[in-house]
Formats: sequence, C-alpha cells, structure tokens
Amino acid sequence: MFCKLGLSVINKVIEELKKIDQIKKIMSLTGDYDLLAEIEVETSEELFDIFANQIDLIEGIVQSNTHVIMKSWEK
Amino acid sequence: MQNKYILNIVIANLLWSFIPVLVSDLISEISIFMIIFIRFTISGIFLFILAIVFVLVNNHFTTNKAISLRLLFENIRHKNRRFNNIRNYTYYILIGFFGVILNLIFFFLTLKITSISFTMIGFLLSVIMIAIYEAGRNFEKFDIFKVLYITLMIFAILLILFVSFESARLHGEEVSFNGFIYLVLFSVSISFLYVGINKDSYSKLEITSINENKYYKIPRFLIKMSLSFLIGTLLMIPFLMILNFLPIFNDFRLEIGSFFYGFSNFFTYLGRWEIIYLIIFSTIIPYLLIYLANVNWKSLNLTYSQWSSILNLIDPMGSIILSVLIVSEYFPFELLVIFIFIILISIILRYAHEVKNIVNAFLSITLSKGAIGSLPIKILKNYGIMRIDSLIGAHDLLIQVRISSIKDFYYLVDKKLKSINDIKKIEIYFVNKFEKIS
Repeated sequence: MFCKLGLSVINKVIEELKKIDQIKKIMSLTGDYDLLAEIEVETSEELFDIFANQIDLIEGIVQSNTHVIMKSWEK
Repeated sequence: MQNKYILNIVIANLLWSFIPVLVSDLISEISIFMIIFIRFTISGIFLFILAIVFVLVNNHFTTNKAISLRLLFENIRHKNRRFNNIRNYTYYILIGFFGVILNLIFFFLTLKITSISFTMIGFLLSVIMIAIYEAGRNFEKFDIFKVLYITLMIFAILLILFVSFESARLHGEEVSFNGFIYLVLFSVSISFLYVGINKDSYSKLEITSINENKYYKIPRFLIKMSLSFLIGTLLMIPFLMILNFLPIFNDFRLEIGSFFYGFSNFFTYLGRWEIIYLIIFSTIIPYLLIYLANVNWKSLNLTYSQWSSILNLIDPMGSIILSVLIVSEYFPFELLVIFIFIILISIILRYAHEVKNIVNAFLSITLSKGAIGSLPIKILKNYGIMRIDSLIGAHDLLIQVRISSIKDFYYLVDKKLKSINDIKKIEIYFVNKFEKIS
C-alpha cells in the first residue's frame, strides 16, 4: 500500500500503522508517495477489515494506492 | 543486533586473526608454499565434498525442492555479468590464484622476514587502495567519514611503522627492504580478493532455482570456494616452477626449493596440529560462517559485503593483540591501546560512511500488455535488485533495490532497465527510512 500524507503528519501516521500487526514493513519514501507499507493477510475479508476498521480511520492519510502481490522473486 | 549473522563475520575474522601467531614458528620449518598448498587443497576437497553431500541430503532426505547438481556445474560456464562477462571458470581462476593464493604467498613472505605487526599494514593499506578504487570506479564521493577513516588508516600504518623500526633498532637489525615489496604485493592481491570475491552473478536458471529452494545458494557458494581453492593450488605448481627460472629474491627461491623437496613429507606435515588447525579453524569454519551469513542475509540496510568490509579490520587488530600476548612481539602498551582505539573508531566511521552512501529504493514498473512472462527473472539478474513483486493494480511490478552507490543505481535504471523494451514506465521511490520491519 502506497500512502500520500498530509503535511507534518508522517510520524503520527507511522505510529498508528505500527500498531497494526498485519503491517509487516513500513518505509518512508521520497517521491510521489510518502509511505510504503507491506501488509500480510490470510483472507480478503481480513484485508477489508484492516482497511475499513483501522487504516481508513487514520487521520493524515490523504490518498492510498493498494496493490495485491501475486508472486515474489528474491535472490 | 540488526542481523544476527553479523556475529558470523566477527567470529570468522577472529579465527583468521590467529593465523600469523600460529604460523610464525611453522614457517621456519615448512615452506610457506607447502603450508598454503596443504591448507587450500585439503579445504577445497572438503568443501567440494560438503557441497555434494548437502545436495544429496537435500534431495533425498528433505521435502525441499531438489537441487540440480547438473545446474550447479553448468554454472561454471555461465558468464559473470559483474566481472566483465568472463566465464565463471575464468573468474574462479582469477579469484583462486590471484586473490587467495598470491595474497597468502606475499602475506607469509612478509611475515617470515618482518613481523606480525608489520605484515598487518597490508590490511590497512588495502582499505586505502579499495577506497581509492571505489572513488574512481563508482565516483563514490569522499565524504567526511571516508576522509576520516582513511586518515586514521594512515595514522595506524605510521604507528606500526614506527613500532617496527623501533623494534628493529632495539634488536640491532634493519627492516627488510624485501619486506616492503612483499607487503605492497600482499596489499594489492588482497585488495583484488576483497573487490572480486563478491562480484558474482546468477543465471536465469539459478534465480529460478533459488526461488524454488532458498538453500540452492549454499552448495553454490561451497562449489565456488572449493573450485577457487583447488584451481589456485594447482596453478601454484607451474607458477613456482616458472618462477624458479627467473631472477628473483633469494628468500623466494629458497622457499620454492623447500616446497618441491617437501612433497615427500606431505603426510607428515598434514599430521601437524598447526596444519590441522589452519585447515579446520582458519579455513573451513570461517568460510562456512561467512557463507552462511551471505546466503541468509536479511538486513534491509547494509548488505553482507558492506558489513564484511567494515568488520575486516578485526582480523589485523586481533593479530597484533595476539602477537603481543602470545609471542611477545614488541609493541609498547600505550601505542597498542592507541592502535586499538584507532581501529575501533575506523570501524564506526566506515559503518557511518556505508550507511550514508547506500541507496535503498523501490521501482514501480508498468509493462506493456502480455509482457510479464519471464521478465521478473530476467530483471532479477541485475546487481542491486533484491526482490520483485508481481502486482495486481495500477502497476505491474514492484522492484526493491539495494545498491551501494548512486552511480550504480543510475546505471541499473538508465542502462539496464530502460533498455528493456517491455518496460513502459518506471517510477522511483527512494527509501528515507525503514520504519518497521517484522
């Protein structure tokens, strides 16, 4: 999930996101988006629950752009 | 600790620091070439067998995806994209002979005719050489941390030189001129080893194998090291034969003669506890430790090779301390404390420099329709790319990049990725900070 934030709220948003267990990684960025968060869930219902009941309620997130990872490759 | 495998690097360097103390008496009885030959031939054979056993255990006694021995050996012909596209077997020859064997030849020669402390200058000099090389090749800038740690290296070298000359004066001797020559040659060859050993690249098939079975990397590294060792020791024989006919220093010639005559006592030497220690605790175990660290490295900040280069200074520091404690080498206590302080500060400064220069970024990629296929594996081959995620959403791929300089980053994006026709758009996001990793 890419997030665009309002002004001067990054630390507050990061603290709120850290409380969510399913969010495994949070990175602050330079670019069009301010944060990148990696979310791990078992089901789409769980994903809906996190967004509807936790992430959407965080003040400071102006816009989010979510992608689902189909497959990963590492070396 | 950021990554528990940092401890592997520390322990490996501590084990290596025992080598000078261990061989200081041995080299007066056995040819240094014979010590090197026995150490790396036996270690190479052991590591090779270990690689085969690992593969057989993985394939027959675990539920992991089978590792192909054929692929492991086909890799030997694969072109190394990070080392001028030479074939891997050429790369192993260069690393094995010019990196491992030559560096140890000059290391032991310096040790034999000078002192342990003086020989350790070679490590410090190589830090300076590599810094200059990186500035030239990568346009890596000389930030304040780099300037400071290089300055400290120069101080440390001058300090050791002072101690060496003082020791020679007290013993009524002179510091050998040949020692300086061997020292510089040792420095050059170990610099080559440090720079070259991590310039490895995987083929497409290998990246696929790694993603099917993460343990593929272990036998691959074992085979790389074992072949480097074995090729290096084999090449040593014709090298010494040719050298014997050239006008060379007398100490060199005596060592060559002693080496060839020593073959009749090969198994006697093999039974000596110092040789057994060298093989097990100074070669096999340290290399296994560092390669376990390499394949399991998960840190999102500095890479394994960066930490390895930061902590390499533990080896010479340890050797000098041990030389004072065990063989009572001359090194005034106050100067020893200053030296240790300099090295520890250098390690911290080096760490700060690497953290400052590393580039962590994510690339959001849009592909042309129907292009995804085997593209991720093709892209993953490039140096600096750690992970690729195939996405459903506004973008097709998310690429995680971790690379040691901005120049390498620009090369990756401008020369490598933008040249791929199927990539329509690249959006770059530089990582400021990893706020959470679990």
